[in-house]
Amino acid sequence: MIGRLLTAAIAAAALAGCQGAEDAGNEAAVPSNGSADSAGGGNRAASTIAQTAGQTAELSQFAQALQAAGLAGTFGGSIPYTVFAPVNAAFEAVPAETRSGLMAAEGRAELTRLLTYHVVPGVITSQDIAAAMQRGQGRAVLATIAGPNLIVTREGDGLVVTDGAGNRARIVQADRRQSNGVIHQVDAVLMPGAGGDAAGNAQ
Amino acid sequence: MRKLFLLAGAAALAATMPALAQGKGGGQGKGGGNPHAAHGGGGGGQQGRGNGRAERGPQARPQQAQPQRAQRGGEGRGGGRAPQMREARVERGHGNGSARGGGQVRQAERQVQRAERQVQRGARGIEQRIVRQAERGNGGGWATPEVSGGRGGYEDRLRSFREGRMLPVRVAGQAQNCPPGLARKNAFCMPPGQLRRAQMMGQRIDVARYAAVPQDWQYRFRDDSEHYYRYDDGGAVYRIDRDDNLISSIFPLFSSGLSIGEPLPLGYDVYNVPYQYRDDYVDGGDYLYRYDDNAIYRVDQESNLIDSVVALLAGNGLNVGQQLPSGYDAYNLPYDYRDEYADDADSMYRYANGGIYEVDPTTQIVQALVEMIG
Repeated sequence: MIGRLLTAAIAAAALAGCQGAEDAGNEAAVPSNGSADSAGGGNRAASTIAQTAGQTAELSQFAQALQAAGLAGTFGGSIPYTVFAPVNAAFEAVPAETRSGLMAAEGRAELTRLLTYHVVPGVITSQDIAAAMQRGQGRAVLATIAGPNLIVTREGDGLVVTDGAGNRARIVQADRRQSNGVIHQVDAVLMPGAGGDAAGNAQ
Repeated sequence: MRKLFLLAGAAALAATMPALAQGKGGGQGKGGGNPHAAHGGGGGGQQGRGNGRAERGPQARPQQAQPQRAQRGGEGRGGGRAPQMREARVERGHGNGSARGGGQVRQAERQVQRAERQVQRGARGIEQRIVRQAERGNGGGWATPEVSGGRGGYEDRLRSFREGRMLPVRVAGQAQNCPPGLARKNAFCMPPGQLRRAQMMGQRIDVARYAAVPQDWQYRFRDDSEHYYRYDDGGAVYRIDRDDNLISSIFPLFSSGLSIGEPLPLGYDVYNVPYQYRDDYVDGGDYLYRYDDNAIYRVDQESNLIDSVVALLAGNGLNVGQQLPSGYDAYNLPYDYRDEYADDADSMYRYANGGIYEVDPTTQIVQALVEMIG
């Protein structure tokens, strides 16, 4: 039930998110924040992904979702991840009923699947994505922790992530370097498609 | 035709069930097999998991079940439904042959239909378990106790569990349709009794109304000066504080996979965290760590409840000798290793599950695991 609600709701949310980003203007260049989260000079970041999500106002709902899924510890350790973190506006585009269902104990498995679809193992910067797109005829395919792939393409000066349901999320803040990986903020919630991923591979 | 179908179905069940049971063999703890192997990730990091899958893969394929049937057929385990189906078929034959009235024929027909449904249900169950086994590789860890002596309901339940009828089934991704008798809970189908188990934590109970722990488990759960241990009919042992009769810990006897908020099943007694993560997640103090289904879970040692996921592993990972799978287009090494392992014309490097792998840029074959970094 939650799954069906989620599919419809997130499709709408993703579309709304993308539209919103486009409406916001096509400045499009992906704002990169490689140093803002670093501390102590050099290239070392002091905060973990979980800490930064918790301390960033526009990621507060993402941080709450990580807590509800029991994943805060996952992103507070030393194992490296790349996280496409939806901003609050992306979550708010999901109907309230669906959101509360996901945040309830009964929705934890669904929420975990949804969140891990936003996570890729290792550290992938926007520069790495650009290099992969150059080799991959304009697109980079990324395997998520949840299983299905995401596809990243360039639109104008910006990067757009396409999910398994065909929804698109724009990277609105790239390369927030963390001690255990990197955060790219996106403007829509991503959704694994039924039976396949964004690269068209059957699951 | 129907007879043929029944025979085929019964044979398929008898053939496949022992194979499945043997597929769980390491985890059943018979004869004290390698506990790490029984629990998947303990096999030893990336390569250990890879080996585990390779070993178990054939068992998940129905066509490989044949030799095992020949080997184990005499035990009769796993084929529990076959005799009922044969019986139904024979009764139908009598009904037709003796022509003792339409009522008896109809009754026989109903028995045949019931048997057919059993075959169909069994086939569905097998298919789902094969999916689950293929998904989990060697990570099942279905530790089942040895049973001695007859104890009525308990032994029946244990036999049912061993034969697969009580096994919770994890269908790819999530449980959409649970088999009869199992209720959906998160990603699992599980016996209804387990649904309320976690909710029993902190409840005050009348100790006298609960059964003693079955003898097979008394080595582990014996009343002491601070606690009672009592058996719940749904397949769990409760630890009850003597002071206030509150349930302070729950130990499910049968595994249903791991899930946040649920008690750690007894089948996960053994530390099974993959090697590359063992420095980071060590049992001790307030917490235990257990690996299951591409995640490392943290368990509150006092309550035995799983309270969080501390690490997520990439499902397929990378394996030496294999083609680089889809999804690893982008360079993804952690910052500290980028200077040492940078992509160039001769080599590409990719990170997965704690390892850095070298990939041939031309063939896209994973050449080597060059460093484990956790």
